[in-house]
Amino acid sequence: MDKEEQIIMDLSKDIKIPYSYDIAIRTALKKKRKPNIILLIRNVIIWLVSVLSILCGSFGVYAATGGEINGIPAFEWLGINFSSSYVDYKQELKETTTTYNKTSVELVGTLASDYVTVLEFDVKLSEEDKEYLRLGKEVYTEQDGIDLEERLKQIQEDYQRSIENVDEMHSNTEDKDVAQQMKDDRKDQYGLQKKYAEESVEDFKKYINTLQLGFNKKPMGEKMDLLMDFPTSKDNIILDGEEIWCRNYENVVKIADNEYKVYHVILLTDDDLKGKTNYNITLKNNIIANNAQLKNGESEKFEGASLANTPNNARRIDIEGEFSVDVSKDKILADSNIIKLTDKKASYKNVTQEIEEISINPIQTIIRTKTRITGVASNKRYDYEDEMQNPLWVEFKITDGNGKELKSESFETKKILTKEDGTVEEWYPGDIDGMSRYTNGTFELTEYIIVENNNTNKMKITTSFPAPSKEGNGEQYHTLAPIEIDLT
Amino acid sequence: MEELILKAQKGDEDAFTSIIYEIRQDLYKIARCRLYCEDDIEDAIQETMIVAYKDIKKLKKLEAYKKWLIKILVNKCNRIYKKNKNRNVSFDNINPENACIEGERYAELEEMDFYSILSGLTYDERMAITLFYLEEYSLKEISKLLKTNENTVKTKLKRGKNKIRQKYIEGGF
Repeated sequence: MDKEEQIIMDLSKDIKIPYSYDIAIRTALKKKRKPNIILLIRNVIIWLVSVLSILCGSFGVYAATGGEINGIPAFEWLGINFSSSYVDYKQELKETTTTYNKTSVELVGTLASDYVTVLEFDVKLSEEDKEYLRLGKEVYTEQDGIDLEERLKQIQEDYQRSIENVDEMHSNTEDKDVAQQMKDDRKDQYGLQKKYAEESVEDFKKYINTLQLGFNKKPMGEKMDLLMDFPTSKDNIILDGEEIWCRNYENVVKIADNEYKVYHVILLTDDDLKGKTNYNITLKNNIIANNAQLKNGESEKFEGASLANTPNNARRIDIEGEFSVDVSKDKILADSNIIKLTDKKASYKNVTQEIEEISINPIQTIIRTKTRITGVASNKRYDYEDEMQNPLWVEFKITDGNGKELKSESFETKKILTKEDGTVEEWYPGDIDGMSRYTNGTFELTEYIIVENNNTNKMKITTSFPAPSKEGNGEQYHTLAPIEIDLT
Repeated sequence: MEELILKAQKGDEDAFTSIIYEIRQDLYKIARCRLYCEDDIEDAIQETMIVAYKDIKKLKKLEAYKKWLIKILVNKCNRIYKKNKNRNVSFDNINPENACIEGERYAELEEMDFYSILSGLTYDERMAITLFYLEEYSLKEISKLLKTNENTVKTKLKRGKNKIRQKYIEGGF
């Protein structure tokens, strides 16, 4: 053995660590100031949004209902029905096919409206590629089963070794209670790890493979990394030659055995477009990949289907060539009613909600809002009692003139924190920067709300947000006075 | 481990605690490179856990979880070290006489192990050796963590290695 190996071996030897250190680990999270449980659940949702949308990726949203495919893609995404006017405004494209062996991906149409740009693809797979992507098959592979067995064996061995260590450490002491306590701890840890491993298998087994497209993926080597696990995960597009971050969604409809329709929805804010109504989108380094879909066909909204893709199952095929397409909002804008507002505000204590603009276009209605939260402090982020402090979640309810709720989905697109000293931080939309420290700061959140079209003349927007009260077991929602807008 | 991380990202405290528990030896050793007092090490690990639990959602590369935790831990250790500089005496003085807390004492070391290998080395040398050999960090990664340049790390590593080599020779190991 050479000296370097000797160093590694000696450094790696377990050293005796005090029992109090183990206790410190076990109790660390109990010491932290616990947030209200509902807020914690919200955080979990935000984490999923962050992990899947912001840090890692976009969502694959699979149509639970097929609808008419020939001409009118009556697809639903995020629970909002896309207007059948889609077909009237869709810009047909030709000669935008890329092929890979017998597989082809064709960009057949685009549609650009306020906030929403849709790219429509026809994907035809060769038998070989379909087989390779394991489409329609269970996500859980035979190799996953073998891996699990090995993992369980390893967990069992580690547990046995840890028990032996305890025996060895306490062989000369009379403090049997401490030894027993340590053994009990090890047993608990063992039980938990075994439970998690077994549970994860049950989770994986709920999913089958479906298809997804991924764009602007950087070429990668053999090494598996996170991007492989989240093939469509990079939420970036090349807009007029510049790579920018934006939200991407994908709706996949199987139309024949080896044929799929893919609607790739890109959400571009006014800031992204800088006022332009005509722009170019380039997609290069593109892939076809498999992704997990719940077996029961349920459409997933903010759930992490892609989390269920295992390294043994994940497959991707690089698509040669690139797509470059000019899109225009002009046709839709000509038929849109854009209402700019200046005095539509509602306030509650330190929160002010303002509706800035409503754009009613033939496809759907887009509302742009701004929320200002003043007097915020990082140390009250989870422990606030009265005033709103946590910019995690603002909820909107949209109703028509008759009080009927309209299907809608809101997206935080910008989050600015201005600290007391004037320093400005821009946080990822939908995220919280846990490391940031501030007192008497102001949050300014920009949100877009997509509303399913409805021929209503009036719209009522009601905003609410969580605000735990002093009484505090449950959570209270503060609801601002509804803001009514005349749409005529 | 990935399952545990994903569960932790979804807010599962037990899963997160299990992750830390799994690598507690390595974390303890790294904290030991900087801190002497058990109380301080325990504070460092607890503070690391609280911050990491809050921020684990930001962890992009799951496989990098250990390096991410080590980075937080090293920062915490440095902060605590500065605060309690008086009681954080030399690594070489780790013996029962100098222990901060009664009852947390280590037996005399009889063979080469983590302590005997690293005794006589400076903090930077200890960290460089530990991160390079135990955690398989690259020179670049060590230089980032220690906020120094790669050449300095190379020198620290070389000096540390020479000191260790000498011990092996003297001890007949």
